[in-house]
Amino acid sequence: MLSHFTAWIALWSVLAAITVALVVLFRTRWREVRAWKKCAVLSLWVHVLLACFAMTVRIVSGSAGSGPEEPIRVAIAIECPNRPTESHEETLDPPLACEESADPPLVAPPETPLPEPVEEPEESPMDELIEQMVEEVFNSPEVSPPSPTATAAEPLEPPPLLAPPEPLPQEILLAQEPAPVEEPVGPVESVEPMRESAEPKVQQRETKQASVVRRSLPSEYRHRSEENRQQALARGGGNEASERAVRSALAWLAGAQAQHGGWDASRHGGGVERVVLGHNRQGAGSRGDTGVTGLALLAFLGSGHTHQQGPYADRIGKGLVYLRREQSPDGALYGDAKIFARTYCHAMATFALSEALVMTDDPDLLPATSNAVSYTLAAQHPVDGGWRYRPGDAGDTSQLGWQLMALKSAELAGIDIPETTWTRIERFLRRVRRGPAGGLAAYTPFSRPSRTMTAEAYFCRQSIAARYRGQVASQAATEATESLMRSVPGRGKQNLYFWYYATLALHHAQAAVELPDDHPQRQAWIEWNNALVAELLTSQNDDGSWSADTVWGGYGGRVYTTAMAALCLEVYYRYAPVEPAAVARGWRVGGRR
Amino acid sequence: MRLPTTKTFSRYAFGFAAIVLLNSNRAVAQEAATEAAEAIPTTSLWEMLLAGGPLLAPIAACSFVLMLAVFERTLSLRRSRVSPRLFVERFLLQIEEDALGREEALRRCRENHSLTAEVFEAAVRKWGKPAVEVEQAVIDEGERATNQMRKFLRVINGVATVCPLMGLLGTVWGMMEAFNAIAGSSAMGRPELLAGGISGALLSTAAGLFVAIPALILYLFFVGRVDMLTMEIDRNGQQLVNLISAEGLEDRKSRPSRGKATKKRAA
Repeated sequence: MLSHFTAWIALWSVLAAITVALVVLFRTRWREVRAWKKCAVLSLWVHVLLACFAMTVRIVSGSAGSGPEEPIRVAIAIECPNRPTESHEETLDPPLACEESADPPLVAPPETPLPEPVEEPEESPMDELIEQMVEEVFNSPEVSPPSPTATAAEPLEPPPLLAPPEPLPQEILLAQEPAPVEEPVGPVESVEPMRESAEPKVQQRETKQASVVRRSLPSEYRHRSEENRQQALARGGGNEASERAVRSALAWLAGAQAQHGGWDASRHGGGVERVVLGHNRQGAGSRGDTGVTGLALLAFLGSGHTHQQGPYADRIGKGLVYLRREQSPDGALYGDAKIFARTYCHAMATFALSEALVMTDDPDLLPATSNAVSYTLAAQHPVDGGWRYRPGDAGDTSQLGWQLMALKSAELAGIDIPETTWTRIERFLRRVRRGPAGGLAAYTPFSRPSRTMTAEAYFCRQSIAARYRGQVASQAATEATESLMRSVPGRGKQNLYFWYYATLALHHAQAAVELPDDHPQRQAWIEWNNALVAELLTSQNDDGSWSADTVWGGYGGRVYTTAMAALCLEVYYRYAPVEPAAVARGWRVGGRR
Repeated sequence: MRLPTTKTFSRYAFGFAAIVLLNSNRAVAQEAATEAAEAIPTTSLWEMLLAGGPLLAPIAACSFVLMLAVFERTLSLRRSRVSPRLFVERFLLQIEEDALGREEALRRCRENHSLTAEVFEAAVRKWGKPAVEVEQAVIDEGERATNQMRKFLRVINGVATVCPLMGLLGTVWGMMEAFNAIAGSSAMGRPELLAGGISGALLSTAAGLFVAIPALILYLFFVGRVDMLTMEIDRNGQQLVNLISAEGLEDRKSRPSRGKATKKRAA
């Protein structure tokens, strides 16, 4: 910010100097020049100054969806589920963007040397350490204080897990009803409008899932199982070191679980206002427990653990129970989250429930998931096709990615998502397209393109295209890839949000089709993956977590950063590409086509 | 045209500097915009202006013409160009003291390029003629001088009148587009679209007023200045008539001449 200020000062001093020079020259050297010519030059110069001034003045171009009351809408859509009406006091509506850079740097980034693959012996002391950590998670008797941020190890080496793992919260038997927690809570929050008071119960949509019975895991999830994982890892560029990082991250997450079964964002550094991109969101995320719980569960599920199998079954089960307990009657899963974090929290929690449902087919999860999905469907803007902070707000790309992933998993789980919903999402994605080939994307239909949104929209477009057995147009894909490759991990501050979507999108682009190694998409992925793994492995703390000192880490805390980093490292096997041959049943599990 | 190379060089240098500055400015602006949260959708005034509709180009052209005229008038209505005090004072004093003959007075007037000097020149040509005739010459030349001073004021006034009208036209145009946009069924129940269209449309009226208000103020200022200078020229011309008309010369001859000291002072 300061550098910009000095740049402006410098610029204006240069302009002032030129102005003075012009006047002096007109009075001395160019005395004989015709008067009207002098005047023309002066007039032109005045307009140049005015133009410069106009560039510095920034004007708020109001966003839609602010205001204390719901705007009156005339809904023409036939398939429009009932929307829960909400009334609350919040009037301002600044969006929670996820931006870092809107424009590519003018200088092309230098070639990054690929880190050498780390050859590891089969059985290393680190594995033992992780196992030890996991054991301690299950046996430690006392409640853990949040540990201070640890420092990163040397570059390009997986962090040695030498420090003793932090003590962990007391175990609760699953049979017991969870007692109210008495934990040190982070910063004191401002008073929020109460949610429960004036909420009419919403009629739940009739879902057709009851009739749907799935026998096997959808093909997208086939790589999560142990037997298929190695091949996907090898093909994608993961290795034993990245897997170890995932394992230690999951061990840390298991230990960080709160007594109520969820994960407490503020206890691990969430809700800290760092005024990202110069905008105060009032510490959004301090109460976003359902959101970080969703992310933590996603990290477990992405690695193949469920509440029915694996060492973390109990913990995942408790997390899911917590989410169902936090659900409000209209299906919303945001719990006590503040306005800017609500939709994110709901989407992440819905996403986690849907994934758990897909992976286990557990009928107990079905009502909660379908309720959550119907809230999501009702919250979509009927025309614009996006989501924002309150049901019916005109949407933004950042929210769209989470909602889309949640809906996609819900559809795989057999919950019927109306075709109009996908049409609207597609329409929204078309409206935020930017760039000559349409490969870039903006935060809203009215803003400039930015790299994070490009990553998110690129992944969304791939998902939409995959539904119809298509692909993103190659020019757009190339444009998006080139844009993303200008900020490979390792430059600037860590931005896990950006990496998450960019990793998913770049991996998908080269995994959906079998590409030769010299294909540009494949090369981009190899370069990105090397940079990402090197960056994440070197910045992991000794206890398996990642520091909250990232671009958006202030809002979500360490649970958010750890879960996101783990999700990034699980990309190789989290979603298998849909086989072009498997036309019989891809996404459209329970839907009508 | 001394040093043509230097001149050309400096002209190019200025052009280049302007372009570089504009570009760097744009880069800085973009960076600043980048830094500014995409969160609150802000936009720079420059971008708003670029998206302000088709009538902004003529308004910008009017603005350019306005500044051109204003600078030109500022230079032309300087006192040294219209009625340099020192010249007027000395000229009248020396004629009064009989220190200037007709030819010398004419030469002085031609040397001084001010409007007052032209009026004086017309009067001196009628040296020794009856007062009515000299006065007529002063009035005629004064009329010409006044017209000269009012030369571009009508342009400024025109800008002040036309710019708001063009802005209004742009607004009406934009409003029509905005209503057409929400007339489509796809935008039903989206007041924000209409609001966006209207706010964009109003920008051209704002731009028109932004140009017209300074134009009007400057017009009034220049008109006042021209009136003041006209009265001054008229007054000085009248004094000259009283000095060099036949009646005036007669009066001076009948007066006792002053001492040498006055002559010296007049010189």
